[in-house]
Amino acid sequence: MSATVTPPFAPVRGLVGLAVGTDHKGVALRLGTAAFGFFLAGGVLALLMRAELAQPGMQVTSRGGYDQFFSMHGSTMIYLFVTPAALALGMYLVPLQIGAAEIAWPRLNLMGFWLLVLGGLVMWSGFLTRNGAGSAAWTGEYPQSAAIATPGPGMDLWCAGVALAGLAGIALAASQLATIAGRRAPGMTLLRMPIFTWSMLVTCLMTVASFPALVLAMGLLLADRHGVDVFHSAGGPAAYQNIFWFYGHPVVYVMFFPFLGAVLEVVSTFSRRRVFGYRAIVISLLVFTALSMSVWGHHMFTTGQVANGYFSLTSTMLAVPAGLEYLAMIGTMVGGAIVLRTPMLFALGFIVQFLVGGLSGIYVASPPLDYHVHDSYFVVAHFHYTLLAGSVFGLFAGVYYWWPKVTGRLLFERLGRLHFWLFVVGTNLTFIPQFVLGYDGMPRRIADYSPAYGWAGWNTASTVGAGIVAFPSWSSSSTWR
Amino acid sequence: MQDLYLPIAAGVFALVVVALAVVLVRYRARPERAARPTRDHYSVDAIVALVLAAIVAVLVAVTLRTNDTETALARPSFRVDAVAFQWGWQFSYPSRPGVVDRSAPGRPATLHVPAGTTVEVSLRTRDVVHAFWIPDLRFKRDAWPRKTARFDLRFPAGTAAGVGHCAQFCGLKHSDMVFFVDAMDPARFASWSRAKGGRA
Repeated sequence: MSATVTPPFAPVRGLVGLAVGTDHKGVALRLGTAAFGFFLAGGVLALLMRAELAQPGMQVTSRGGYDQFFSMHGSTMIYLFVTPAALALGMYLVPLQIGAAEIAWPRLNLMGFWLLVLGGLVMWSGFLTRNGAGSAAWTGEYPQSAAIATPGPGMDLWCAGVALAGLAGIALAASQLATIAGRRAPGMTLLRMPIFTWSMLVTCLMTVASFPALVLAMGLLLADRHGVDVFHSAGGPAAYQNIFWFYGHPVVYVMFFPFLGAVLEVVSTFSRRRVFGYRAIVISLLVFTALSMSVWGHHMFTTGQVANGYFSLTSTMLAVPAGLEYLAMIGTMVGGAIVLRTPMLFALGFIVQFLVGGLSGIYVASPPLDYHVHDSYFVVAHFHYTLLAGSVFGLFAGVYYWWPKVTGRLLFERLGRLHFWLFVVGTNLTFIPQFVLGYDGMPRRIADYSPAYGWAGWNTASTVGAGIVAFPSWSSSSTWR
Repeated sequence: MQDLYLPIAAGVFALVVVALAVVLVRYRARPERAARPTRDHYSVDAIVALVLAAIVAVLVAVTLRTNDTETALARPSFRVDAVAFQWGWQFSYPSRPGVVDRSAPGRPATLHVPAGTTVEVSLRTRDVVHAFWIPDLRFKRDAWPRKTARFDLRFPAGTAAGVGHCAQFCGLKHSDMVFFVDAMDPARFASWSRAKGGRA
């Protein structure tokens, strides 16, 4: 007599499997692919914006079109690319790293994937409506996002899409948290978990703690746009900003920690030794997470409606845990035998370029300095150094590093190096001029500027840089799938 | 402020880059040498944390003091009422009744102020959130619906022309929401004021 063992979820193959398969590796690949698709779509919008700004005057689009481009660029990159890419990395690797047979709550996890895809499609479907897509920036600040200032279904679809993406984040993060809490293999104590899993643990903690505020803000905004007086009172606009940024700052670290974790793994592997100061990293991640929930007001220094001193203190304090993470990355290399393969190059690029974003972050955490550069291209340069020149380098480090494990195939080392160097040149050429432009007085979110300001040269340089960034992104997309 | 933040940022950046370069050269993989096993030195972590905490303490202390002096309201020698709207500015002057500088389509408003003295601005908006930014003064402040923001500006002595922008995205013609700044020395300001029917 033979006994057969039926797995709790029999693998489903084929097209149906792509829709309903719950294996965490499969869902993670689908989520990663979707996120990469949104990366390319958001990148096209970035190129259109850079083409418009290269010279004074309107050459590429209209003002209204430009407002949709920058709103949808930011929304796509944050809600639909970096956040889901970070969670996809964790979804694939966390169960493997801690010896779990399967991710916890696999159906919730699968639902998270579909909610994200749906949210993205809903958001982008705005382009098909009469007034176009959402055009009140990625933040949807009130009353610019109110029905009277930004009428039309495109903005409603934006609210609904962002809410769906927020729900997706909660579902995905909850599954990974439950996996870490309950599915670790015997002997895998918390302080034995690989550092990438630790980075996902704190990422998911921040996600479940802060994303509900985003869903709330979007639900209330949608209601407000349809006749319910939610934010219309004197304190309403500030209430919206407080709720939104309560999500909006922790998400910055949701889009940072997984890549920091990936970079630590890469640095460790390519230095041929384990990470330096494991417990200090864990403590710094936890301190960072705790602080991340109390820094949102630094987005509101110029509103005159938050305690600037308090938020300056908490924001500047982030330098301490961040410094320990840098010590860990460099300390791991000291005494190692460093091999400079493509993942390691991207990890080194992350370390240097994220530092520019971090140090300029300390600068803008000081209200007297922020009063000048807030809402200028200086801030645009700052957060693109953290997100594109930082986190995306960390993402590529991870993708190049784990690619052979996932696919069973090695990548072309030479193409990887070319990709890396084009990215280094492109990101710096794009964003260094933006520091200069912002400090010189160029506000963000403008479609046009007077030739009298003398900004054309720097803007042209920035546009050329964006073209260089785009090149490897397109070519890698064609070689990867 | 800059004099403190920029050297520290440059110093930290240089330190990390030099450390990385040294480590990469010194510990590059070679056939004859294997990696040493990692040994943790938590005292190093503690020292780095303390040094960083000290730097943070200095930065925050200086920031808080500067912020207090910069946002404190002094006794102004001139007042301006600024109103932001989609998409332009209106400046009026309580001591010069009837004098109004207002944007018209294609013609930005001009803010007239005496140079070298304290000017208090009362800033309001008629619709969405805007932001009043004069890059030359390195200062901006948001205009919020149903609220009045009060802040001091001090233009350097001597005559200076400049430009101001709306920094907060406010819809279709956000890009065009600029104004000119005409900071005049006392003599010119008096004659401007007389010409406009006000007292010197």
